Amino acid sequence: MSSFDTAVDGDPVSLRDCARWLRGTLRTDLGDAAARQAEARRDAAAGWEGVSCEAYRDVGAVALAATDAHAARVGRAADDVDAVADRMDDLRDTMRGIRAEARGAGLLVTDRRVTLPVDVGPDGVRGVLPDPSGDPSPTVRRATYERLERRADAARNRSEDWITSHLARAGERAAEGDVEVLRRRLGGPAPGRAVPEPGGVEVPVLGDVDSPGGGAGAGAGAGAGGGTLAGPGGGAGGSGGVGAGGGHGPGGPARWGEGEPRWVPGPGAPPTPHPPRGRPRWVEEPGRPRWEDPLLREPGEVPVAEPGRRLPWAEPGERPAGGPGERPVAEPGRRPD
Amino acid sequence: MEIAPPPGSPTIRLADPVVDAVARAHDAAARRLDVPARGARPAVDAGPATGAVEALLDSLAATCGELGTVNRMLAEGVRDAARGMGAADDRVAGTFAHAAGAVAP
Repeated sequence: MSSFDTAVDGDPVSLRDCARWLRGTLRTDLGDAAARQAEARRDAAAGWEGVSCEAYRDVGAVALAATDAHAARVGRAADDVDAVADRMDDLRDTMRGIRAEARGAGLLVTDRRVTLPVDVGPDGVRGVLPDPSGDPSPTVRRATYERLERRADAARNRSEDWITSHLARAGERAAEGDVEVLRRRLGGPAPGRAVPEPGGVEVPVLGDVDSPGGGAGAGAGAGAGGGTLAGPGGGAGGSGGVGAGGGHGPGGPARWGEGEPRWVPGPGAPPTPHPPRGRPRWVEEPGRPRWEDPLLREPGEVPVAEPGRRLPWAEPGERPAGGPGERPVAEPGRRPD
Repeated sequence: MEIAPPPGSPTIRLADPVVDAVARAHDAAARRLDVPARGARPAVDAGPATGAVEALLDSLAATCGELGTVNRMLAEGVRDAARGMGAADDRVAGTFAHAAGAVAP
């Protein structure tokens, strides 16, 4: 016996529940998180002074914008999931109509399967069973069966193709954004990873930020006879300063980029950069995640100055050539007494 | 006599209550973004497209996780900034105290 299936796998109700969860839970949580971040930036603006605050507010603005953008993405994804549910409902309606027409044409419909009844005639040839009522004729029923089968196949293929391509586009949109880049630039571990790498990860954050004017947040500016840390775009940037230091200098706003910071020697700079010590790093220790800045170790331990790093302990007589009022900068390897 | 600070000298100020408020706000944001901790998402049956829908949800949740990590790092960054400033202040104070102790008044 020939038969075809009109069942539609899947549960549109579960998709609508999912869309509601995306809007009602995930997007709401993102909105709340954005509100907390905005609150943090306002608190910082009200009671934190220094270039470190400016740098914090810069990176905070990036994080806030990323949160807002993700909330919008979640909203669009909810619409996408609803659209898939709509499409599944449409296919179910189509299949329901096919089953009704099949019954009307004298075809067998059992558990959403449409069957063309056949029998073996007296001459040994398999044929369509005659309808007891005599109408429609076996020939008409066969033609109806074949037409409905083609219609069901076409509707199913159309629906599945649409859902596949729609969800592919939705997946691409969901993956947009540079939050992972932001997280990596901050030097943090991937979600779910307890320990990023042995000993933590260096924080190129602020050195990766193109900043033609030199780094804020106690970052390495271009000192006399020194060099700068530059992002891949070639602009000079500050190395990580205290905590969330760094950011944009007077030459232009910071922007996130790919790649590790690299050393760009300035006029008269030593041929090789100072070893990449002195930059803060993120340590994901269970129960005590933290930034560690090697230049701010235990009291009493004397750090080695990095070229270009501003030294609060340097004396006026040690000030290198620079503009009036410029704070002294360290010489490579110099230890303060 | 009034001694003006050198031109260009920055004002640096970060009080503990501000640190606490900023860090707490980021911690709260991170908690809101911790999707698994905030309850299981609903099960989805999209037939043959179930995998694609699950992948979509995974992608969205992963980005939430990234944003949560970013916020935790910002919170710790602010706390460490305060600790670093305090440590620098202590070190400078120690240098002066050491120098002051070298000569009897």
